Amino acid sequence: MHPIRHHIMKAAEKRHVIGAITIVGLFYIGPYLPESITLLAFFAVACMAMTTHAGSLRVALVASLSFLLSLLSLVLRGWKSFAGTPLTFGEAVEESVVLMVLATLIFGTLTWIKRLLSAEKASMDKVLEACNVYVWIAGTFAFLYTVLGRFDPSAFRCAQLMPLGSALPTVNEWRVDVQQMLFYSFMTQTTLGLGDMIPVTHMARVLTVTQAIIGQFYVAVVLAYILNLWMQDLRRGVEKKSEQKSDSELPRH
Amino acid sequence: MIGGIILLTILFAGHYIPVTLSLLLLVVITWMALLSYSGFLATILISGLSFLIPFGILAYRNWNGIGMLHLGPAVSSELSLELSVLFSMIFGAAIWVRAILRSKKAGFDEVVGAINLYAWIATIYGCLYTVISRLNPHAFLFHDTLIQALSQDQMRHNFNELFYFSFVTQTTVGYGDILPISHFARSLAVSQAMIGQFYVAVVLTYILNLWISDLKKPGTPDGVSKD
Repeated sequence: MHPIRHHIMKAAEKRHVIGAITIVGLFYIGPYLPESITLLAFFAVACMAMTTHAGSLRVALVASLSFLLSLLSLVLRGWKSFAGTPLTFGEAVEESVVLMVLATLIFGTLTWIKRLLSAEKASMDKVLEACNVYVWIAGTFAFLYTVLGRFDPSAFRCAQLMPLGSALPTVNEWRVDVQQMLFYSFMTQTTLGLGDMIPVTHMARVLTVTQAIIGQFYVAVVLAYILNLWMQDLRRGVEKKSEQKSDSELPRH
Repeated sequence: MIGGIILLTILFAGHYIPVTLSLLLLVVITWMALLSYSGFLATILISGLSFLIPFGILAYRNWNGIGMLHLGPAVSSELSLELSVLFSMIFGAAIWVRAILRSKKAGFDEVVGAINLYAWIATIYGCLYTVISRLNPHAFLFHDTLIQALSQDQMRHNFNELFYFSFVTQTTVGYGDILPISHFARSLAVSQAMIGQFYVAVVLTYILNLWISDLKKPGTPDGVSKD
């Protein structure tokens, strides 16, 4: 095999690590980047995961459909946002991109979890993948919260950013907004709940509670499932080393 | 399965429908679960009795609650309905947990059932908090920013608020926007947080272990026999 192709294959095997590092990296350095780069990075990660699990055609379909639908509905509403404020063309495109990323993330997560739970055997790689999905779910919920916050600006109350009755965050504020929501999302999913941002409207509360339950049950169900599979594999590997070797060796060359 | 979906629907849509309707829905799913685990007679007996007894007591006391709070027929029938839901759900949950911990094998369906039971316990505590808050109006304190959206009096009697508080407590998130103040409410909240943790650790692990060992059996029979 050609060495470059070999490297690409190796990179493809490490995709969960790359994806998780990207999301966590965005979490850390996101405030210092322009928001279009953040969005594009999210979108790239989502597409990467989806192409490996669902095929590139469906990825393109979901992404373009969600983008076009949201843009079309914005055009039909006369360039007004869902909360009723007028938008420029650039802002409308940006808002549709947010919705597109959301749709792609949700679709990607669903296909991924389905594949993860149907796995028959697991390795260290699978465990890493499971940890990655955890981060991934948090990212999805962060976008969900962002979209919700745009539909209804009073959905979340937080001391500095969104006092009662404040206006919809502008595009310049949005970058901060998605960072806030990413933080909020992680805080909820790990069931930390520091309480500096609280959900106020009913929809926000429901989503928050759902995420908290997912956060607890994900660790208990999916991680325990994968770890159990992995440990059983390890135990068998110790017992019958020679047989296991021929099974687990990937045919790379 | 259906019960869990209805429960989640109430969680999502409960804000937009009247409280009585969501309480009646709760009664229906409680009956469903009770019927599948115990007899028909016990179900009717428990929920009927737990509705009629408080209703009768309140009627006898001229619609005055404990602490001489005047309630009126409508509110007291709502309170009795909540108590009825509460008791039949507690009964249902007790039977259910016993059935789960006794089961010898589990599939994916049982895991979903266990998650359902988690929401179930949260609902029980939601009812419990509502009853407490009705009997003692100072049991819960709501954060200032929340009161700006709803008046304190409305908040207190809102089943949905305390339902939300119940879930936040059980998942050990604890934002602190709704706080238990009275001693009884505090001890209940603490016990619920403990249940929330131990449920995931004990019941779920038990079921998952059963499930995984079941999965392993058909493919590789030697994978399980070691433990």
